[in-house]
Amino acid sequence: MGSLSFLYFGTVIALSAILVVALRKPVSSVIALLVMFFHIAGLFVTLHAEFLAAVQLIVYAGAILVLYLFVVMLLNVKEDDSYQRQFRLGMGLGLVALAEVVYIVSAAGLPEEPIRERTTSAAAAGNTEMVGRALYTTYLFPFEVASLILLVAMIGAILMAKKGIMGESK
Amino acid sequence: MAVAQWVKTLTFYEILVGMKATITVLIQRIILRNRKAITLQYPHEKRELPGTYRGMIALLRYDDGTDKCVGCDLCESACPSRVITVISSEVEGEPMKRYAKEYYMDMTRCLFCGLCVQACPVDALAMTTEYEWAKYNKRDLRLNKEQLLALGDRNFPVREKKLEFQHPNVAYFNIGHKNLPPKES
Amino acid sequence: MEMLVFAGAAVVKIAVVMGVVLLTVAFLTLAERKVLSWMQDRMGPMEVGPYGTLQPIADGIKLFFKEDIIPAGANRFLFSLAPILSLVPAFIGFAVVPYGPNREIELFGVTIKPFIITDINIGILYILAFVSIGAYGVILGGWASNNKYSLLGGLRSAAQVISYELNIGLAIIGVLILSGSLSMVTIAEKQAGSILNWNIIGMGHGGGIWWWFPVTQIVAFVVYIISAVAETNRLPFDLPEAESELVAGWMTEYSGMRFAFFFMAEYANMILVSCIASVLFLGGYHAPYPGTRLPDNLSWIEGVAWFTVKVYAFLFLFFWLRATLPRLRYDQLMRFGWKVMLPLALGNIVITSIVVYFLRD
Ligand code: SF4
Ligand code: SF4
Repeated sequence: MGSLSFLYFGTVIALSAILVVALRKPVSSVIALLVMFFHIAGLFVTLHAEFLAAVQLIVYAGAILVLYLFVVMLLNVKEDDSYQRQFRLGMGLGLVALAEVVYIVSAAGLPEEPIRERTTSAAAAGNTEMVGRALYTTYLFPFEVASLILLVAMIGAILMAKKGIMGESK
Repeated sequence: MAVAQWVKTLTFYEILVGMKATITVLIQRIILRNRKAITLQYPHEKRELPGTYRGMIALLRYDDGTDKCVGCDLCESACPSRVITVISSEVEGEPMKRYAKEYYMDMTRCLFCGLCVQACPVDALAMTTEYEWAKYNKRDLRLNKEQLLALGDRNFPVREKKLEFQHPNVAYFNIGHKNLPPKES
Repeated sequence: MEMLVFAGAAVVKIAVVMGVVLLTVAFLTLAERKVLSWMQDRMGPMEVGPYGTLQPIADGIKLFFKEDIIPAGANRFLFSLAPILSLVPAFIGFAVVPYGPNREIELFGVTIKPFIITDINIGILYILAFVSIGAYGVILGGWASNNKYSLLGGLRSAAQVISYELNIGLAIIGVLILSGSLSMVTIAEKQAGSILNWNIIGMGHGGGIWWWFPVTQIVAFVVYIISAVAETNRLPFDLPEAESELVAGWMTEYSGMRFAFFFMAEYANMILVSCIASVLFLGGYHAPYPGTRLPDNLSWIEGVAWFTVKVYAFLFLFFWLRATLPRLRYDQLMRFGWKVMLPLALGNIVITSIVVYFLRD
C-alpha cells in the first residue's frame, strides 16, 4: 500500500517536473508545477507529515505559484523560446545534479524498513509539535540564519522598488 | 478632537452608522411592517400614467371616420430620427385635397420627443400611453397606416369633428370637398 | 465488515453535509436577494412560488439548460478546468468542521463520531491550503477566457487573495496559541463552558489564579471577518468581479453550468469561512450559557442548533455588509490589507503570546 502510493506520487512528481521545463507555454508550465506541488504534498501525507503537506500547499501552491502566474499573466508571454539557447548548459548542470543524486543514494543505500513505520512515532506525538520543537532547539541556528537572509532579501527588494519609484518621479 | 477621530476610526464608527441605517429599513420592512417597498410588481401592478405620458404615436380620425392627416409631410421633416415616411397623394377627384396614401413609422428609431405631434398642422398625430410593445421581430415595429390608425382608435375613442364644422372660418382648407354642408351665414 | 461500516458511515456523513451545504448554497442566493431588497426598499424575487421561495430551483434549471459557450480564442482545457478548480476546494474544507458535540456512537461494533466527518490534527491548515487553491480557478478562468475584463479580474483576484490570505493566517494564530492545537475539533472543545470561554472573549485560558483574565481575540476576530470578506470576493471587496468596471470580472465569458460552478463556489466559500469563524472565535457548537438545557442524550440538538445559528448570523453579516458598503478602490484595498490589517494581526499575535506565556503555569 505504502510503496504503491509512493510509486504513484513519485512517478507523477517526476513527470510533471519534466513537463515544467519541457512545455512551451509558461501557463502550462505553471499548471504542471501546481500538479507537482500537489503530489509532493501527497507524498508528505503518506509519510504522516500532514503539517508539512499543508504548509507545502499554502506556501508554494497558494502563494508563490500564484505570484508566478501573476507575472506570467501580467507580461502575457505567449511562447518563450529564450531558454532553448541555454539548453546545453542546462543539460550539463542537470547531468551533474543527477550524478550527485545517484551517488548519494548508492552510497547511503536504500533503507531496509519501510519509511512508514519509522514515522508512526512522530505521528503519535503530533508532528506539528515535533516540527516546532526541532526548529527551535536542534535547528535554531540555521533557522535564524534563514530568517535573517529572508529579511535581508526583503529589505533589498523594498530598496530596489523604492529606488525605481523615486527615480521616475524626479 | 483628534482622540475622538481616532476612536471613531478604530471602532469603525461610520460603517456602524451605515449598517444601522440598512438594518433599520429591514426591521421596518419585515418586523414592524410599517414600511412599503417603493417598487411595483410590474406585470401584476402597473403604475398610473399621467395624461402627458409620451408613449406610442397614433394617427387620429375625424368623427366621420376619415383620417385627419392631410399628407403635408411636415411631421416627416420635423422628426429628428427619420422615423416617419409619408407618401402623399391627391384625393381621387378632388385635386385640392391631399391625403397620406401610405404612412410608415419605424418605431425602433423613435425617441418619443413629440416633435411630430407638434409639427402637425391638423393635429392628426397624438401620443398614447401605450408602452408594452416588445416584439420578437424588429420588423414588427415598422408600423403602417392601418396599425397607426388602430392605435388611435384604441386610445382616443372620442373623436373630433371635422375642422370646417368646428370653426366655419377654416373651411377654405377643404374647398374641393364635395359633400360639404352649406356654410352657416 | 468493520471497514465496510466505517466507510459506509463516512459516505453517509459526507452525503448529508454536502446535501445541506448545497441546499444552503441554493437558498443563500435567494436569501441574499431578499435581504438586500428588504434593506433597499425593494421586494426581490416574487414570481416563482409563494414570495419567490422557489426561485433557486428556477435559476438552477435555467443555468442547467443554458447554452455552454467557449469563446473562440479561449484555452479550452484551462477554460473547462477553472470552474472545477474553483468549486472542489470550496467543498473540500467542510470535511474537518465539527458540526456538533464530539460524541461517539456504537454502530455494529464500530465507534462513529456522527457530527465530525474527520478530525485531522492540522484541520485549520487543511482548510487554508484548499481555500488558497480556490484562487487558481479564478485566475486561470480569467486568463483562459482571452478577454481583457476576465484577465483584469483574474489579476486583481490573485493580488487580493494573496494579500488577505496572509491576514487570515495571522489572525487565527492567536486562537491557535490559546487552544494549543490545529485541529478544529480540539479548538471547539477548548471553548466549552460559557460565552466567557469563547475565544472572542477568551476567559478561562489563563492558568492558576489568573483564570479570569481575558485573552480577548476580538481584534483577531475583526481582522478575520474583514479578510474573510475579501477572500471570498464579496462586497465591499468584490474588485475581481466589479460589475461597473469589469462587466463580470473573471466570469465574463462563462455561461450555463460553468458559471453556476463559480457561483456555487462563491457561496460555498462564504459558508466555509462562516463555519471557521464560528468554530475559532465563537465556540463552535457551544451554547453561550454553561451546560445544556436539554436532557443529556438530546443535548446534541442544542449543539447543532447553536452552530447553525452562528453560521447563519455570519452569512447575514455578509449580506448586511453588502447592502451597506460601497466598493473600495483598488489601492485602498491593498493599503488597507497591508498597512492596517497586517500590523493589527501581528500585534495581536505578540500580545496574545506574551499574555499566555505569563498567565499559564
Ligand atoms: S416622437 Fe420624435 S422621433 Fe418619434 S416620430 Fe415623432 S418626431 Fe420622430
Ligand atoms: S400627420 Fe400631420 S404633419 Fe404628418 S403628414 Fe399628416 S397632416 Fe402632415
